[in-house]
Amino acid sequence: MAQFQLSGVRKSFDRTHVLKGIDLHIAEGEFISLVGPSGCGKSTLLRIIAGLEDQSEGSVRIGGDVVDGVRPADRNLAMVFQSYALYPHLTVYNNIAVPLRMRRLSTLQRAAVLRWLIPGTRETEDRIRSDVEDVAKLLGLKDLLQRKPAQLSGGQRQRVAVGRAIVREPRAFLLDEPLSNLDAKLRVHMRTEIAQLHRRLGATFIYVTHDQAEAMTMSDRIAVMMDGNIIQIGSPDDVYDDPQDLRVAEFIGSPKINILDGGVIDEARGLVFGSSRFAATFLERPGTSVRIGVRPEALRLANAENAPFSGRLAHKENLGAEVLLHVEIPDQRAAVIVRFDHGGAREISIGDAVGLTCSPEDLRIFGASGERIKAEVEARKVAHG
Amino acid sequence: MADVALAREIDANIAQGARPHVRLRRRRMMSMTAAVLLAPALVLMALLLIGPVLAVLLMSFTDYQLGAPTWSLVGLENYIELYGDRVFWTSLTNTLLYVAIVVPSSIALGLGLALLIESGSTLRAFYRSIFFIPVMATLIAMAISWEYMLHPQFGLINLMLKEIGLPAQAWLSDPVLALPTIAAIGIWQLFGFNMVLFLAGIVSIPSHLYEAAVMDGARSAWSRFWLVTWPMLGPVTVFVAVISAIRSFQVFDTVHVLTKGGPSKATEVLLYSMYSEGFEFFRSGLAAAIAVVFLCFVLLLTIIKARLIEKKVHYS
Ligand SMILES: Nc1ncnc2c1ncn2[C@@H]1O[C@H](COP(=O)(O)OP(=O)(O)O)[C@@H](O)[C@H]1O
Ligand SMILES: [Mg+2]
Repeated sequence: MAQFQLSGVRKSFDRTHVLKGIDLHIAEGEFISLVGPSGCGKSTLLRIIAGLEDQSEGSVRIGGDVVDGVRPADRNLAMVFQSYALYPHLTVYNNIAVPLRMRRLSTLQRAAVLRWLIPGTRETEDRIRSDVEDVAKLLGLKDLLQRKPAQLSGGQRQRVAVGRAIVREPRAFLLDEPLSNLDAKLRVHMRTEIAQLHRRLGATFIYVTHDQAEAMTMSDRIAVMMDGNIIQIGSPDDVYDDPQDLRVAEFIGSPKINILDGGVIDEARGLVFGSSRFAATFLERPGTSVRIGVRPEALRLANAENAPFSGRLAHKENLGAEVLLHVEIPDQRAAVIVRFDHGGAREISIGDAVGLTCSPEDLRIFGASGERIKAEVEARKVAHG
Repeated sequence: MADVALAREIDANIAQGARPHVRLRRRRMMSMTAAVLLAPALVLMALLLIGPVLAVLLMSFTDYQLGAPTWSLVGLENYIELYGDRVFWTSLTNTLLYVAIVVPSSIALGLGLALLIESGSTLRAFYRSIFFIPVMATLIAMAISWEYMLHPQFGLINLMLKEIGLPAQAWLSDPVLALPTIAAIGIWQLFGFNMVLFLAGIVSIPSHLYEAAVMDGARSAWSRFWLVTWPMLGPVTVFVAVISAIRSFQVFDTVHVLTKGGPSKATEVLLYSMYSEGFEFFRSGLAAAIAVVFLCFVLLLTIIKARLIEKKVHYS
């Protein structure tokens, strides 16, 4: 187990800057997710931590030691690859045993023919066997130990890859989109399993994913990456409730946050949208035009005549446990989505005029370049907190 | 797919109670089409492959002599003669010895060079071409330049040996050295080909396997080779071994140019025996029998390859 400290990590391939200065502290035993759209540099960052790639600038410390230039095998980290990277010629048993054999047996003891003649080989192999069997039992792989990877389903291969990582005691686990090759149902199931595994092992997990739902459901903290920068880092609730950037707000949460153009800050620092005014005090110059973000579950129905947001119902998605209304508001780029619990909004049908409102504290206001504009209440909270 | 559709159509016709002669005509047309499409390939195969092999097999049971007006069947007499012929056994042993030297060496050399070229970062294309030159060169011409290089007095190799204080050798006229020397030329001619095949094999190994190996603690290139490279090259290696073995069995040009099977039969090999029986002593029947023995070895190798590739070294 170990903590990680990344300082000013940059990476360029030829002339493209993939990582543009990453500072990140990861605590011991923490489950942290690096989440962001594909191509934003998540895998590259993970590979730099693993030592599979060298950073162009900056440094990585693991457990207090600078590991720059330390080879991957000597960093004692375990990695689960997106493609699983199982050895196709080895059985499940041997795949899981590889990390133990590499560390516990000498080169001669691994040689094919004469290995059994060297003292200690048999005892070590016996210990390896019991360790591999423990892991197989934990992951439900006991009946598959003699199969080759080609004879396994995607989910089983994924388990073998996890087994190969947890069979020894590495300082941390690095997982690069381990669930993205599974079908939707299995993916949801494996989220729980991996989270439970983390609790059971108590080890540091660094988890890369482009799926915000995975990050939200499993992590202690989420680092949201865009274009080679970490633009926000915090607990799932933090990142969801208090996005520091429009891109974070739009990336985290499903259905996506509603973004409405056309808000203006007035003389009294309130927010004006059309003919309505929200009475919160925003810390921004009067006259600034802003974009208004509001989560689908924060919106409530109101009288269409005088509601701040009004439009027509274009579509209704009934998902069983929840109902999503798509309300088209004039002059807005996308339909506003409103979320109701099961049975909500029964009386509204397609084409009806719909009025929507929300409390001022549920508004997330963003400036022209996507930066968050704070409300005074929040600012005070921050100042006291 | 097309014939499935056609079959369905025929079934439909039957179901509708189509008149039987319509059905028959259709079926005949179908097999006619198949025959026409197959014909060129069949004719070529019969003409170029099966025909000659059958002719050789037949000839090996006769006492035919090249140019002779008559011949008669002699049964297994040619084979019996071979069985009792010391020179034939020498020739077979020499051929097997040659294969046993050339195949492992050219594989090891080809694989080693492929690994070196692949691990280096510059001049890959250059090395690839350089080492591939012997494969493309005409062996007869190359054999002649080897003859100059191996000349006991003026040859480059002996001059170099003298320069560093080692005794000169009679490479091609010493019965102990002659076969290994021919084998060395065989290796030189073959390893570039094997190297190219191994290079293709190495390139197709997914890089994430090496990364997994490194994360799993395979610190040295040596352990990564045994954990990933060697097993992943299994199919390529079997293929390379069989192709190399077949090509080594065919050793002839160098022997013909450099030693003519000598000194005292030290480099007598199967194809050279066949050549001298057939075209120097004109005993075509006997030469055909040697050719059949040769074909049996090649067939055996092909079967081994097919079996191995099907069974053991396929991982998917
Ligand atoms: N070895 C490489 N050479 C050149 N460009 C690379 C290399 N690896 C990654 N990149 C580039 O770096 C960017 C980030 O890649 P990556 O870290 O894999 O993104 P992510 O995992 O977030 O999808 C991509 O634009 C990719 O094309
Ligand atoms: Mg990636």
